[in-house]
Amino acid sequence: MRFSRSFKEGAGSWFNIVLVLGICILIQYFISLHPKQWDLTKNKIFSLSGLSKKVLSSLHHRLNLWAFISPHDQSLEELIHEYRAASSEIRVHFVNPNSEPLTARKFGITSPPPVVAVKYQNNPPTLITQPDESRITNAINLLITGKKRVVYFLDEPGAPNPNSSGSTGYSQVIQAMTHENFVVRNLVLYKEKAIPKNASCVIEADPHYPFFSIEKKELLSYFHKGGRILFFIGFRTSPKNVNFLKSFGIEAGKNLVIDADPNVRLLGAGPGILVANHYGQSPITRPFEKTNTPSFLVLPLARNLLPSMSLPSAMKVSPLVSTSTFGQAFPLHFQGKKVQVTFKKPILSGKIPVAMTVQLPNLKNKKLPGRVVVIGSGSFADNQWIQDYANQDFVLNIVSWLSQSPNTLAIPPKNNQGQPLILDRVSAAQLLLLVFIILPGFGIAFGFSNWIRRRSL
Amino acid sequence: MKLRNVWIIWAKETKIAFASFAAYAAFTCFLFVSGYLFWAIVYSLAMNSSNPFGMSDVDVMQFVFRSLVQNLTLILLFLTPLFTMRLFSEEKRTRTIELLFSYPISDLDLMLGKFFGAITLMAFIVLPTLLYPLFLQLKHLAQIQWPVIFVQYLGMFLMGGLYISVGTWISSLNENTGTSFVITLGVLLMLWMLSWGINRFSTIKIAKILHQFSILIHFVNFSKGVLSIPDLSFYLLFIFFFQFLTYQVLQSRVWQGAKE
Repeated sequence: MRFSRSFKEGAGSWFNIVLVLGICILIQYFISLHPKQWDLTKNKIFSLSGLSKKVLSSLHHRLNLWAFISPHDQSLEELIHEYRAASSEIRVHFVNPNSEPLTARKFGITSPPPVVAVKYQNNPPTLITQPDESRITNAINLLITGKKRVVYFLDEPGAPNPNSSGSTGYSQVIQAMTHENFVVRNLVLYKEKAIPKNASCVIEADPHYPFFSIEKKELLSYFHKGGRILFFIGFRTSPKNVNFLKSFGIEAGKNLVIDADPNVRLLGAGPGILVANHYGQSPITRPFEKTNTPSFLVLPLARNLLPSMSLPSAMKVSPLVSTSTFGQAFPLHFQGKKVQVTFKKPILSGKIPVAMTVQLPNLKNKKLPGRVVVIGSGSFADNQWIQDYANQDFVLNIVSWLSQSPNTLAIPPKNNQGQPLILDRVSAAQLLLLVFIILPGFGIAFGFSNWIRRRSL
Repeated sequence: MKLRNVWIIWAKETKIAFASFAAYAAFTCFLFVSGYLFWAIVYSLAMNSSNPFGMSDVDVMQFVFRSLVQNLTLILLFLTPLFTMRLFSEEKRTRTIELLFSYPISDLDLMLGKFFGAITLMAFIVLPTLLYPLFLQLKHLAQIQWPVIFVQYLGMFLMGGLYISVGTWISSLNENTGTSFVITLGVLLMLWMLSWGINRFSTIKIAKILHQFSILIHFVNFSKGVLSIPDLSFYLLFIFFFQFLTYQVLQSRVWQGAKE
């Protein structure tokens, strides 16, 4: 069978086109496997910090990163791309949790987006809620180094069983902490007599019965040696335990705090349920400053907190969560196991703190100082309330902050080098002249002169 | 390939382009629209800066110039087919292409000369917009980061080069300049819109692959002031491929109609 020359040449041409296309795709594929980029902005606002790059340079195996984010979350998408560009070992998968809820469920995600999941070697995926560069890098660092942050839930007689899946248990928050690569263990302090050395932080949730003296001693000693404790204080917390908080610089009022702000009341909570979204300056609540993150907290039967009158001067007590300026506190009357509230006249009004942080000054031996967070609501983090609004994210933020160690990488937020642009009247007129008269005028002048020149030929 | 031949074709193309009124009309329209965009963005930022509840510390490089170059590339998409429609179509229609083929100039020289001629015309239209950041700097209204501007304009030129290479190929296929214009515009719009319906979040695998071919996605880093090798290579390879297609079309006259 003989083909014409035209057919042969034509077929050869098509073959060349397919070959060149294939080569182009292959080149692009290999280049994109090892992406290299240079951020030419002054403050390197589109680059990871040196610390993050250092951590990523020690990746020797494939790290898969799933970003469960909204397609409109451009800033986080760009951050994820920076991770991808920083290491060829990182594979990125973008998932829209609204269109792929099953994938989100497979990872055990219960928080609203954005959530990032990272998987390294044979470890189960670590979830990072409210991800930013600091959180993602620290999570990756923990995966690479294999270090675990151990959280101890104090198991006290009379207090709700932490592992219980009932409404008063804490199984959901424990599960969320486990997903964030925390190891959560129970601790019966009066039996063990000491807080283990590997404890990143200790959680004491609504202790109904008074602490034994050995427990008090151990908690105080742990705090002063740089230990971290999270207290949930409610109506049913033993008054002696509430009194014990004074040793940490905190006093809890005998009252019920409500917020009469009409905007908050629109959310539909009853008077016993405080809805709060006023935060102090703290790394714990910094992620809530992002507008796309739900930042309301639900504190059932909240009581107010304030710095202790006999506060040791070295301790730094700061409000973490407060009511709006419409906050009011009404007195509580304890009659045995019954508690009554008199709504006649508030004993406090204005901005009332319901959660506080306490921090000791820096220690000399490079260890981080002791930290305590007190939340004035006993059932804030139990299974009944943890899924409401941002409660879970808030608890996870607290535990992350408390668990910070000297090994935690301090990555500051990026400086976007913003500057106001003040356009005075003269500059505005000159700008108008430039963009609407001078530059387009050149085009008209050149065109006209060209037209005259051509006519004269 | 002889550089001298490329130069000759480039000079001819440039001379023809600047002798026509269309170049000046495009120049005037482009600068008027881009000037309006620049004014609107700067004015809105200035209003915000003077508003106590507005954005007082916005990064000018990102707020003004990132959005400006993104808009300018869209305007270029509509203008570029005007430059490219006559590159080969006009030569074919007036039969001057036969004359060109009779000169001792290779197809490669011809193609490159015409491509760089169109690029020069685009540069003539785009480069005056560099006066915008210069104005802000001279008036001390903003601190201009020139490396960022350089990357943004590099991206804009690569995007323009991509438009021109597609337009050159389509022009080489047609005798009618109007048809070349419409087809080029249609193809470029298709390439532009490729990322609209699909994105990296898509659950369909083919959509994720197609997303990699989106000309918009690869422009994002340039618009931010980030020079990325995969994005740079995407545009260069895209331009190269369509120039190769044009070369194949030019070469086809040698064997089309040949019996033996």
